[in-house]
Amino acid sequence: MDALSYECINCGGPLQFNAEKGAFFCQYCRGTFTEKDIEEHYAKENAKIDQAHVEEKALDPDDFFGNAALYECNTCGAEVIADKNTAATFCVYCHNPVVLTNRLAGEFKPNKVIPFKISEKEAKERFMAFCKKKMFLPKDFVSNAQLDLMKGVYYPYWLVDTQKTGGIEATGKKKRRWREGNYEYEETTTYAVRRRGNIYFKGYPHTALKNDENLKALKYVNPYNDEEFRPFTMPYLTGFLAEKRDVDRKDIQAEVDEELRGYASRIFRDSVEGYDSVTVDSMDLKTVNESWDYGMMPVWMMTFIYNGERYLYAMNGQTGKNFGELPLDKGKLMGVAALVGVGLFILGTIGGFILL
Amino acid sequence: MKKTFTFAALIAVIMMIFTISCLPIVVSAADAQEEPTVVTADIDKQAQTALTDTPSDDSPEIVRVGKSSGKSHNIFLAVIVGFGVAVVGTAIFIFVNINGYKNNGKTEPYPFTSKAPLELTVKDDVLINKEVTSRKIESNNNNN
Repeated sequence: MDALSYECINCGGPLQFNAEKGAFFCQYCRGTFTEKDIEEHYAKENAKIDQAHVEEKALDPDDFFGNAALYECNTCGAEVIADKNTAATFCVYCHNPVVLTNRLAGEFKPNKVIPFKISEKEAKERFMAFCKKKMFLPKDFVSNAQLDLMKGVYYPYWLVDTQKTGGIEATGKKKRRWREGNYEYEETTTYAVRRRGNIYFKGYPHTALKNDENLKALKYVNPYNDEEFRPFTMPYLTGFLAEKRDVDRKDIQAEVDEELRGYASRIFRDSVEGYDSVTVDSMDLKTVNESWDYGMMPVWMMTFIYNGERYLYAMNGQTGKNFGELPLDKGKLMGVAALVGVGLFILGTIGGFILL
Repeated sequence: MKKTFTFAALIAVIMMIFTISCLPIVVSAADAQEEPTVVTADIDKQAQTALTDTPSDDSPEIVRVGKSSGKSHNIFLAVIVGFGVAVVGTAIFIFVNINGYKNNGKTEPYPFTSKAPLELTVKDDVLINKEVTSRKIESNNNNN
């Protein structure tokens, strides 16, 4: 497998994509280069790209190393194993960024990418600001050692553009109340409601990983701003981890259809206005046309093990939206709850005594 | 963690005992400053005075009635109320915090209102039924 490291045009040091600058940055000579600079340079001097040789182990499903790849880092020569979905990583010895180009070739090559917009420093600052509001987090959760575990990862998503046509049959009711003398009247008017039309779903995202334990987080870090999509090129992955998809379109077609059907029902239901209550009796929906794109989206990820349980914190690498199930220091919570209980007891007793 | 919890629980218990034990002292101190709330006079003497128009030499007998027997009952009820408020309030506090730490940021992942516009081709609303119901309102004036 080809392991590729992009080198600085000036000094030959490893290049990484810098989210703050929106360009490629050399940590050695501090040089900054655009995507165009790199493409022109590598087109002119092909000798700059070191094609490392990698032995792909025989794919034995029973073997621990089955479906993994062995690659040789072209900076330090170390042999490192990457799991089956890894498309970009760092050499664990010299920490140089490495892109496993074959993993993102052919049908697995993404169409587009949203580059990281939030830098590592900003991600950590946002995380600290987020944690400040939570007083029952374990102390270790906001330590520097934990912050260093935060990693920028490009995750694969299927992006669906589709036109659905259909409609709903519903019953709408309006109520009117008034009083005359000693009587209260209620008038109920019932309507047969019919709505039909076309819905144009644009860029509906669905994760393209099969059994990733981060699936929930990958769903709720959405939405991304579609306008910042760029055509995919390998250099964007440098300096970050990346996963390649292991889910084909046909594997999730039914699931996506069901999710879009749910959204269509809400959209049609919301188009019925002016009633006190609306009950949808039936809905029909069919696909007129559909196109699927495969894109890479940036996510800052951090996992935390607390009391034997794994907690995940994720941040959208473009918008900064957070998602996560946070660990709770139950001792701290119970302590504060006890004090709250005492305070309420005193207030309640005094109040009860005054009232009674 | 264990120490914090144990310490806080100990403080809570001590303060609860302190509050309960102080209540009778507070109540009796308050009673000592109060004017009698109920005054009964010797009915016969008053009646005689009124009839004969002769001021009575004896001042009416002042008797405090009916207050001391209900005090302990009120304290007990107040403690029950306080305990109930504490339990409910603490339970709500714990539930809100536990819930707030799970699923942070679980918002709509796909903004369908902006990304999935609807082009309506049919919009029919057909009246199928109209009914009016009535009920008599009970008036308080009827009882007087």
